[in-house]
Amino acid sequence: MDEFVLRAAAGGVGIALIAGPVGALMLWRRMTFFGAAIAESAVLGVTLGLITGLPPVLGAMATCLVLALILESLLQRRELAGDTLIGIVGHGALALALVLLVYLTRVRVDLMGYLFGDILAVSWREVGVTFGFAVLSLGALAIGWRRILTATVEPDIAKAEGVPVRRVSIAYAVLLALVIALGLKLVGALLIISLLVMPAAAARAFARSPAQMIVIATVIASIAVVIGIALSAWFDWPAGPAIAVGAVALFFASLLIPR
Amino acid sequence: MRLIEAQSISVRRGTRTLLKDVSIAVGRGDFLLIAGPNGAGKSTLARVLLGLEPPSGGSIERPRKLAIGYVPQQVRRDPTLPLSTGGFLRLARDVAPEETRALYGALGVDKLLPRPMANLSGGELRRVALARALMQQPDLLVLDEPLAGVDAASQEPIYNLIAEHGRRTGAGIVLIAHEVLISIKLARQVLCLDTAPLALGPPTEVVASAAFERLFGSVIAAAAVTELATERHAASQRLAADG
Repeated sequence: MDEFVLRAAAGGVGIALIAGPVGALMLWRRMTFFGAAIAESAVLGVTLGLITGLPPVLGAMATCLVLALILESLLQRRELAGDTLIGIVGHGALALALVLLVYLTRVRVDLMGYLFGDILAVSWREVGVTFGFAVLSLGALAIGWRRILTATVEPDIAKAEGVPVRRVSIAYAVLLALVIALGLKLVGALLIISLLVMPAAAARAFARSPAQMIVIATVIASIAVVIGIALSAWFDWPAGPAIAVGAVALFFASLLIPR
Repeated sequence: MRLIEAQSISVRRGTRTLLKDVSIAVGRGDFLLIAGPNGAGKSTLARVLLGLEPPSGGSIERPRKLAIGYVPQQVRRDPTLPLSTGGFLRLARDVAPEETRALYGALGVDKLLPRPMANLSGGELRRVALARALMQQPDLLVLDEPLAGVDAASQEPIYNLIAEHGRRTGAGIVLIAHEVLISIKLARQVLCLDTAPLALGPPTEVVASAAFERLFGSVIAAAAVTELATERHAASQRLAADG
């Protein structure tokens, strides 16, 4: 096997490790569209990076973080529904990105790479960063697990009992933003949400406990990554979309499981 | 010892006044019943006491490390979260099965433990939330219609269990309930609320008040007076028998 395929698979499994738990929490916290809006804002970050000459991933990370925090605090207000605010922030960021593209004359190919991912071009260093981030995040989730889950299951009871519900909410928004930014290079801004939502949704059919759902989601995400890279290597499909196609196929297969 | 004290609480949302000038204090061993019609602001008062909603005016004082058990009016049910009832209860605290066996049995929660929380009925969900609140041995219990949707036959035994828990552990209890006739016998203080406080005091005083009769009607008011008299009579008989 070529080394670049191995590198791609390693990077993909690294991102799957963190996509499992973050994706399951995204489903439980009803934040799929929150995530999608942040992913749209990643496009703005990449554009800003390309215009200013900063590394696009850093630009994406900064934009994702800022917009996730803005959106999280907007959602605390109750006058407008969550989906409304999410639509405003996500599409607003995307519109701004498309306007700013005017100032980008040369490197549009790069931008395509960030929209749809370029996992086959990932370096060992990026694989290392992905695994390091995955280990740190998993550790943080494990430490806060009981409080995070209580705040997710019943925020009112959790808050009355003294769980810092708002801090959990902010921390999760930050984690989600970082995962999305990190996933850019691998599956792309527009497809990272697939890797979060589809394996977790597929895992629901098998899981008998929250922890099980996370483990199974991680396994399914890893399988999707491997399927995607294989399809990409054999049929010359773009890798990011191929991974998402693998994940969606696994989700529909999971519907066949009797429950 | 004071557990929580609210002074002149008012809550306005837009142009609507939900609560007006409500003051209460709950100490160790206290049992405060909050009664009133739908939309009277009972749940809002509970949420303000718990810090879930900010009041528009007034102040709330409570010790910084107050352990609270809360049964909200609505407990969430989420089919995407594969959480068993037992798993939900263990999330609160690691307890040895022997420690909770009696409590779960009395609340009828024991047979629900393996079932997914998402499949519980409204009444079952309230029993589980109550079990969770009681098992943590909190300093203060805030129970917002804990027995709404619980079958009639179970209501009196469960209310007795709640009162007994308060007596045994010294927990202060704030109870919102529509089952006034059952719960008023257990309460030490009653607040009749209809946006503003209409009556606050010991049950015997409050049931004799004009406000109580206006809120609950003359039939229930008369029945409450009789219930309390019967209860007092039974208590003095018990005392005489024990003495």
